[in-house]
Amino acid sequence: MTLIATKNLEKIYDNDGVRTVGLAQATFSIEVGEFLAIMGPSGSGKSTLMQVLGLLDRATAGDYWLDGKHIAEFSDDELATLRNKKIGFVFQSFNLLPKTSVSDNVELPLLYDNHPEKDNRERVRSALTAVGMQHRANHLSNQLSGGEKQRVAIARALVNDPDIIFADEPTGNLDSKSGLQVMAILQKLNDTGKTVVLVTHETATAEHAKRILLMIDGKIVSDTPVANRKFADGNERTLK
Amino acid sequence: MNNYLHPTFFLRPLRFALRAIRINPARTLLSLLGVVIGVFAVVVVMTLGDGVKGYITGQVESFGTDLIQVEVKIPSATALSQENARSRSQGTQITTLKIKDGEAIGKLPNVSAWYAGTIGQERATYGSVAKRVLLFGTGADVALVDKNIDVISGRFFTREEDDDLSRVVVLGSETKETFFGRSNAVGESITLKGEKYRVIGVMKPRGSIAVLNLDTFVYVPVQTLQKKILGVDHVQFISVKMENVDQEAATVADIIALMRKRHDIDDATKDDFAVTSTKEAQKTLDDVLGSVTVLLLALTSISLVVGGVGIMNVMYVAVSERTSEIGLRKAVGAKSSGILAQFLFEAFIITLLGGILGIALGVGLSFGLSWVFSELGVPLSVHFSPNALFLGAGFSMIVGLIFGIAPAYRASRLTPMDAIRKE
Ligand SMILES: Nc1ncnc2c1ncn2[C@@H]1O[C@H](COP(=O)(O)OP(=O)(O)OP(=O)(O)O)[C@@H](O)[C@H]1O
Ligand SMILES: [Mg+2]
Repeated sequence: MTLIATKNLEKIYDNDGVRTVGLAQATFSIEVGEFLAIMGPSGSGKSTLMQVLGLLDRATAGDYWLDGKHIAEFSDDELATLRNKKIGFVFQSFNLLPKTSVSDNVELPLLYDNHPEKDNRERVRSALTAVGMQHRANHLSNQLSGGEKQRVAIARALVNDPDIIFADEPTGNLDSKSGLQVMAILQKLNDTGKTVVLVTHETATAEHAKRILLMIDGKIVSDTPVANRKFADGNERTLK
Repeated sequence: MNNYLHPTFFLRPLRFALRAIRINPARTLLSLLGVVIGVFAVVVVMTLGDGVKGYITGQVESFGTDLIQVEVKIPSATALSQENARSRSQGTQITTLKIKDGEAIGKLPNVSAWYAGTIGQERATYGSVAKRVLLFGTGADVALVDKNIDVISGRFFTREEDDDLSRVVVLGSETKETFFGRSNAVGESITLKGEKYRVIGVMKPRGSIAVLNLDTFVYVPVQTLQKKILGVDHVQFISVKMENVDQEAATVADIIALMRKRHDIDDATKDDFAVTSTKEAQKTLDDVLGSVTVLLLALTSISLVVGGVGIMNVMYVAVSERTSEIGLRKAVGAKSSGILAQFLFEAFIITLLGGILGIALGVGLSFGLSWVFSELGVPLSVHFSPNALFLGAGFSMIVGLIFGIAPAYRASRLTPMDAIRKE
């Protein structure tokens, strides 16, 4: 089943007449359950593509269908609601609310949703359990290590039970051990059926995905399956 | 999808705002300060203003609202004008007001009593004690006009004693203390201008009007004061009591007409006297005090605006400091309206807290000052005025909304992208 489809998607930044091509002529699709890595050198447009796909920014030309919906026709408020229900984000710099408890951070997406709050605690707990952080629920965000912060950020991305998780350089600020932990969690989430889109400039990290899009100067230059997929938890699994 | 009526639409931004305020107590306190000072000033002006007004009108009323005062005045000046006060303080004497004028006024309809009065200063001695005292010369009927005239021992002087230029005095309670201490004064004599004056009574303590301490007076029959001490035959004022206050206007007009006739005046600008009823004076006082309060309020409101600009500043800083937070909130589903509400609530709550603090401090200071004043002998009755409360709280909330809206709007307009990228 196709989750994401694009046709000639284009993003041109225009700052006071200075035009920069962020993304050019991108046509591709992502199926439900995929684990896609977007690779490329700095400035090649990886983050731009992820932000457009994640509904954080609008393309300047071309078409984008998310779950069959033509995104250009949605208002900003409707996009906010879509982000809330369908998408989870993980950023390089964690973006946790400072001096706020781990569980309050994880709960945040649930508070931009009109459903009743009575099962919030349970959802926060199970999201934290999924990333192995349930024992830190009452710590403040600034009392955590970088790796722990990123795991809390993943729990926050999970808590609304989204269809797809976008992670932009999630291991970029972490040591290799913490980075592997994060990749193991993302792989486990993918195993449970979540679609994952990972942005990275490291081949070693990208090889945890199932498929790699390579970008240069805003263009997708190759789109290949991963031949020797790595598994961060050390267990080999057969590829689908 | 867009459910603005859903309670969570307000409750959650409110909760976020409260959390942000709690997380950053130092910033909250700093931004409070301007509003606290502004509201504080407004509350102090309001409560003290009311207290002072009540005190002054009370003082006027304590003499009775049924009085009319006839005073000397420089022709062409108004009684309360600076010119009149200046000329009189520079020694210009109007010597045309006479006791006979009082006698004529006493025959007018609606006049139940009157007395003529004049004031002088003289050195008084008793044994080894010597002191300059204020001599208050009055007609014997003063007690009929001024209901506060009452002796605690002895008696007041009589009409005969006044007419006979008797050398008798009634001492104010403090003057009695000064000269006689605790021992009996009635029957003793004090010396004024080398002549002995018999003390025939001591007044009940009366307190002060503004800076004038009535208990230091020495009451002397007015004609005795005129002839034996001051060497004049005029008086400074005549106090008149009405039978029926409702006819105040007519009585005032009667007195003016009579005085013009007696003083041969054909033109109001040449009046050498001024006629004021207590009622009128009270109204003038009310007007003056009212406009002073309004002026002070206007001045203090400026400090509220300054407080508002302070809030706006702090909120702008908060928005730029928390750009990435705003970006994250938008990424996880916050709408622009939600961000707007959150930051608006923040400004609103901060100013409301400032308002409450300002009210508390203002009321505290007002009560403190009223205590200090009453220790100084000026009983200001300060009571918690609901007006001050509503004005203080209302002002602060309006300030919060007005000055919070621009930064909150800026926060809400940030695109999630701009916000996330900023680092
Ligand atoms: N807001 C913006 N305004 C103007 N140009 C932008 C903006 N954001 C990105 N760009 C430009 O678009 C191009 C792609 O940027 P992007 O951030 O997507 O690259 P990236 O592949 O994520 O790089 P990195 O690996 O360094 O994160 C770059 O040339 C960048 O300078
Ligand atoms: Mg990037």
